[in-house]
Amino acid sequence: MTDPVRVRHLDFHYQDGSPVLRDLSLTVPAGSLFGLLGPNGAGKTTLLMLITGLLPVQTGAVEVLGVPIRGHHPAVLSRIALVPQEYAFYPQLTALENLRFFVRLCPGNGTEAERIDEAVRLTGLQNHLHRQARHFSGGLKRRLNLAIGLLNRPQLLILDEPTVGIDPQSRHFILEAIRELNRQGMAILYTSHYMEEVEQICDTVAILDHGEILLQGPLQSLLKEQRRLRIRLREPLPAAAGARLRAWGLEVDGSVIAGQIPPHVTLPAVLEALREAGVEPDALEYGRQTLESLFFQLTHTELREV
Amino acid sequence: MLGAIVRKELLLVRRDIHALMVLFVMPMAFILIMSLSLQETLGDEEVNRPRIGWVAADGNAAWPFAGLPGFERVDFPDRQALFAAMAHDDLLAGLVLQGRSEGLAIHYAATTPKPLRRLLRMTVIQTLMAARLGVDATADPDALPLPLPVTEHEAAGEAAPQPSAVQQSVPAWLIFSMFFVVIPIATTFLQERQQGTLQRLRSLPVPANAFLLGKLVPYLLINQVQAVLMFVVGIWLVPAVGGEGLQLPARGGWWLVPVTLAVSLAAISFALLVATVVRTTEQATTVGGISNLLLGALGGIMVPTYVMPAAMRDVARLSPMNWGLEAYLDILLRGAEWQSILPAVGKLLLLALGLFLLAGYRYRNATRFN
Repeated sequence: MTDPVRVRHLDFHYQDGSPVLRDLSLTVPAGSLFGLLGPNGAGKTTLLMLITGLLPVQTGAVEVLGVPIRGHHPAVLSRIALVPQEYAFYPQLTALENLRFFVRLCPGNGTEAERIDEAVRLTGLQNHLHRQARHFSGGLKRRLNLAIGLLNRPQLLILDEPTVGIDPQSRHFILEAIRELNRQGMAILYTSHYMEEVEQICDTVAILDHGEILLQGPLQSLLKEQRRLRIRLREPLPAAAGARLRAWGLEVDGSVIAGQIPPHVTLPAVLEALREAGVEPDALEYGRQTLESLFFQLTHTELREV
Repeated sequence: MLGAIVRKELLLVRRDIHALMVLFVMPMAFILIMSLSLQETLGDEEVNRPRIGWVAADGNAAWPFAGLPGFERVDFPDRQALFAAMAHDDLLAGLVLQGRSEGLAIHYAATTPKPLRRLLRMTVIQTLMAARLGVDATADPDALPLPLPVTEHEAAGEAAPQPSAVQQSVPAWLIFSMFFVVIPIATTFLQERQQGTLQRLRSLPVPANAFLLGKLVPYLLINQVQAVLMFVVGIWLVPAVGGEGLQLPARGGWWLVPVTLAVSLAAISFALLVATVVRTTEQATTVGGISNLLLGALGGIMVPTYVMPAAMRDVARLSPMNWGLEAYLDILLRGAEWQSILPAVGKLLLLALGLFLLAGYRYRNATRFN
C-alpha cells in the first residue's frame, strides 16, 4: 500500500532567502493518524502548503498518494483535503449553502447529495444546516470546517489545528470523528499544539523544529524508548558524582537530576552512584515520557519569536 | 496620557502609507488635475480670455471687433486657415465678416459649450449695437455695413457636437460606478484570504483562472444591471423631474452593449488585480477609491473633456474611463457605428485581458494566504 505522503530531502526558502525547511524527510504511513508537531515558526504550515501544492517544490521531492508533486496538481488535490486552521468558509452563507458550494468544486465518488449527507452525519451538523455560519459557536464552526474537508471523501485528510478555541465537548466530538475517519481507512495528517490531544489520537508523530525533523516514528515506541528519569535529592550532589552522571547524559542542577538514562546504564546503576556519593533521593520519577516532556526535551522551552 | 495617545495616533498615521496617500497625494493630484482642466472655464478672463478667430472676407479688417470684450481675437487671412486652426487649436469660434449682404457668420467649434456660444452671440450683437449707436468711439458708424445679418454655424470639418448635461452625465457616471466594483471584489477577496477560504480554494482542484472567472462573471452581470439603471434614469427619471431626457440614437443604439461589456471587463480585471495586490481591506478601499477618482478626474468623468485645455485633453486620452466615455458619446451624439467604436472597445478589451492575466499570475504565485 502506498504511503500517502513521502517527503525526501526537502529544502524551501521564501523570497527573502531565509530557509524554512532544511533537508527534510518524512513519511506518513498508509492508514496512519500522523501527528506533526512543532513550535510556532518551525515550518509546519510551509510543509503542509508544499504537500498540498500551494507552494512550489524548490529542492527535494514530495510524493502524495504516490504522485510526485511540484505545485498545483488537480488529480492529486481531488483525492486529498486540507482543513485550514481558520474557519475557511463563507460566514454569510448557511452551512448547507457552504457545503453545496464546496462539494461542486470537489469531484469525488458518489453524488453531491450523498457526500454532503455523509459529511453532515460525521460532523453532527444535521440540526444546523439552515443557519448562517456566522451565527455558529466556535465548536460548530470547527465541525463545519471539518465537514467541508470530507466532501470529496479524501484518501488523505490534512488537519491544521482543527480544535483551536473550542469547548471540551466539541473537542471531544471532533477527535472522535477524526478517529472514526481513520478507522474507516482514511490517512490523516494532523497538526496541533495540544500535546495531550496528539498523544490521545495519533499513532505516529514527527517533531519539527527550525525546518528539520527532530524525531519521527510510532508514538508508543518513541515514548517507550525515551524513558525519563527525575530525582530530587535531600542535599546537593557532590561535584565528583555530578560529573559521573553528566557523563551518562543526565542533567544535574544542584539537588535535581533529570534526563534519559542511556541504554547501557540501568536505573539501579544510577541509584548505586548516588549511594556511593553519600546522598539520598527525596523523590524519584521514572518511566514513560509524556509527549509534552519529549517535545520540550527536543525543542526546549525558550519562547519563539516569529 | 493625552500626549501618549496623540503620539500613538501620529505613529500609526506615519506608518500607514495609504492614509498618507489619502491625506496628501490625493488632494494634491486633484488640485493639479482640476486646476488644469477648469482653467479655461473658470479662469480669470483678463488673464485667460477665450480665443476667437477672425476673418474679414471683404478686407475690412479694421472693423469694430478688435475690442470684442471678454474675448481674445486671433486674425486669419482666409476661411480655410481659420477652419484648419479650429480643428486643432483652442479657438472657441471663428467670426467671418462676409460683406454687407452676406453679413457676419459665427462658426462655433464643436466643443464650445452652449453658455459660451450664447455669451459670444450676445457680445457680437452688443458690439454691433454699440457701434451703431455711437457708443464705441473707435468705430466709424459710416463705415459700418449695417444693418448686418448675423448667422450661426457649426465649424466646417468639425464632426463632434457637444454633449448635453444628460448625455455627458449618464455614460460618465455609469463608467465611474462600474469601476467601483473594485471595492466589493477586493474586500471579498481579502475576506477569503483572511478566513483561510482562499487557502482552501487553492487546495481544491480548481484552476486559478476558473476561480478568477468565477468572480468576473457575477460582476459583469452587476455592471450590466448598473448600465440599464443608469440609462433608465437618464431616459425617464431626469425628464420626470424637469431635466432634459436622454435620447438614444435612432440607429446604432445596440453598439452601447459591446461598449458596456468592454468597460465592465476592464473595470473588473482592474479590480481583480487590485484584489491580488493589496493586503488589507483598508488598502483595498484606499487604493481602489483613489485610483478610480484619479482615473475619473483625468478621463473626463468629473470635468467634461470639452472644457479642458488641449493639453489636458491629450492626458485624458490615457485614462481607460475616457476610452469608454468617448465610445458612449460617439454612439449617443454622433450615431457612430461599430467602425468608430472599435478602437476604444479594442483598447478596453486588451487592457482587460492584460490586467486579468496579471491578476491570474499574482493569484497563482501567491505565497501568503492570510
